[in-house]
Amino acid sequence: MHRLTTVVIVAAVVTAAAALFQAVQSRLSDAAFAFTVHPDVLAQLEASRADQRELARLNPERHDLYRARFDTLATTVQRLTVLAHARERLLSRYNTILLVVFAASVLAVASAIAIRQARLQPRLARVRDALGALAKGQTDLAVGVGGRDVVGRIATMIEETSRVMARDRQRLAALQNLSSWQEAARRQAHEMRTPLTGARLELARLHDLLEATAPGREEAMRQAARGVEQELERLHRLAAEFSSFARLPSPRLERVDVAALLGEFVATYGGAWPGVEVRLGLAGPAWAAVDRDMLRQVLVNLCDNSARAVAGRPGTIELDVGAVNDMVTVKVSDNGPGVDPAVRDRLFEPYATTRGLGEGMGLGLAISKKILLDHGGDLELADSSPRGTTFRITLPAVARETP
Amino acid sequence: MKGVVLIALTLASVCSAARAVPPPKVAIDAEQRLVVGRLAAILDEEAVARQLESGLTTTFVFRVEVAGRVLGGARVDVRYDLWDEVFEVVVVGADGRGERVTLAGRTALATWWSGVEFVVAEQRPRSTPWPRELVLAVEVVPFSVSEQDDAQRWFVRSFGESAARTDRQVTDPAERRGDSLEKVLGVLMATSIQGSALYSARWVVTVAGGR
Repeated sequence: MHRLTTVVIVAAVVTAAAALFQAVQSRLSDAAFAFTVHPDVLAQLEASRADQRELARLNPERHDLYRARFDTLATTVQRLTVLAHARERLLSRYNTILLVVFAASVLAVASAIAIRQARLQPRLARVRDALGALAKGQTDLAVGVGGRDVVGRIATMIEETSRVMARDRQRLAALQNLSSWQEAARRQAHEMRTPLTGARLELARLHDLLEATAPGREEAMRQAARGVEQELERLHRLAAEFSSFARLPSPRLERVDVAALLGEFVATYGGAWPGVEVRLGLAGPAWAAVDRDMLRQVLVNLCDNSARAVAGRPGTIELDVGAVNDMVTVKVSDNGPGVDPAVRDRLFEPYATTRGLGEGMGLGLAISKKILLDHGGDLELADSSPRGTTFRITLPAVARETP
Repeated sequence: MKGVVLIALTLASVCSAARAVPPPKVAIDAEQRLVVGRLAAILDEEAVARQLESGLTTTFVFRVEVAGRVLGGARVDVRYDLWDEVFEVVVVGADGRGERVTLAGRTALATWWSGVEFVVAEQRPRSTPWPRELVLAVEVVPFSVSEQDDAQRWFVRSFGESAARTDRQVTDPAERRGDSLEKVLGVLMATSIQGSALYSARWVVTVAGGR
C-alpha cells in the first residue's frame, strides 16, 4: 500500500512536471518560430526581392547579378512560406519530440532508480541480517556485499567489527583459560602444601622424639605418627577428588521416583549442616532414570554450597520436584546472599569458586553438571539474587514403575 | 442511429460548402467524357487568392466520386513567375494530356480560369452510363511536392549549420555524435513539413447531358 501510494505520488509529480515543461517550452518554441516566419521578415525579403528586379531594370549591365540575388531571395521567401504553411505540424512535431525525450529521460531515471533499488534491497537485507547476527554475538561474519557505496562500506565495517570481536573473544578466552589454570595450580599447590607441611612437622617432631629420653616419649611418638597419617590421609582425599573429577564413572540408571528419593535424602541428610534446615517443598511423583548415588552426590554438593552460602545465619534449603512435559525438574533453593556476579558466567567451570584457599577446589558444581549431562539432563543456575539462589536440575522423565 | 447522424452531418457540411461557393459545372462532352468547367468561384476564395502570387505552385486537385468510389480526377498547377510577373498554368486532365498556358497577370488568369474546361473522367463503356448526380471534390494545395522537398532539405541543412559554420576539424567523438543527433532531429522535424489543403470543397452536382 505504501509503495502504491509512492508510485501514484511520483507519477502525479512527473505528469505535472511534464505538463509544465510542455506548456513552457510550447510557448517558447511558438515565439521562436514566430520570429523565423514573422510577416515583417517576409515583407522585408519580398521588398528586397522587388528591389533586385528594379535594379536589374535600371542597370541592365548587371542584370545577371540582380537576377541571381532575386532568385535567392525568392527561394528563401518561398521556403519560409512553406514553413509558415507547415507551422502547426512543425510545432506539433517539435513538441512531440521534446515530450518523448522528456518522457524517455524520466523513464530512464525511473528505471535506473528502480534497478538500483532492486539491487539495493537484497544487499540491505544481507546487511540487516549481518547486524542481527552481530547483535547476537556471532563473530567472523562475511556479509558478502561488495561495492564501494554506503552499503558496501557499512558491510565492510560490520565484517571488521566482527573480526575485532572474534579476536577479542579469543584473547579473553585465552586469558580466562590461563587465569583458570593459574588459579587451579595455586589451589592444588596450596591444598597439597598444607598436609605436606603438617606431615613434615610431625616427622621432625618424631625425629626429635627418637633421640630424646623424656618420659611419655612413646605416647608423643604415637601422636606424631597419627598426625603424619592424618596429613597423608588428607593428601589421599585430595588425590581421590582429582581422580573422581578426571574419571567420573558412567551412571547406572534405574527407574526412580525422584520425589521419594528426595524424601529419603532429607530424612538422611537433613541434619548434616548445622544451623541449616533442609526441607522438602512441592513433591509429586516424578519418575526418572537416574543413578541414585550420583544424584545424591549432586544434592550433597548443592546443599553443601548452600550451607556455606548461608553460613553464620539461620538458613533453609528447600527441595522442590515437578514434571514439565517430558522432563523432571528438581529445584534446590536457599535463602543465601546469591551467587557472586564475578563467577556467575563460569560457575560450572572447574576451579571456579569464590572460596578462599584451603576451602575447596571449586570442582563440586563442575562434577555435578557433568553427572547430570551424563544423565541426559542438565544443571543450571535458575535464579540468583540477594534473597537467595535456586539451582535447577533437569532429568529425562520415564514412565512410572508398575508394581 | 449513428449512421443517420453521420449522413445528416455529411449532408449539412456539403450543403454549407455548396452555399459558400457556387458549384462548378460537370458535363458530358461529345466523346462521352466528364468535363469540369465554370470554376471562377474557387479562384476568388480568399485563402486561394492570397496564395496565388506567392511564387509557389498552387495545385488544384479535382476528383469526381460516386458513392465514395473515385471515377476520375484532374490537376491544375498555377505558379506565378515573380520575375516575369506572369502565371504559368499547367492543366493535367484525366485523359493524360497536359496543357501549358502562360497568362500575363491576375486578370488574364481570372478570364482564362472562368472559361477553362478539362476532362476529369475518361469515357465509360456504353453499358455503364454516367450517373445523373455525382460528387465533385476540390482541394487546393499551397505548394508542390518538389517545393516541399526543397524546403525540407533546406530545413535539414539549417539544422546542421551550427557544425558546418566553422571550418575546424571535428575530432571529438561526442561532438560528432552531436552532429549526427542534429541530423536525425532535422530529418524528424523536416518530415513534418507537408502541404495541407488551403481550401477544400465538395459539391453534389447534376451532370449536364447525363441520363
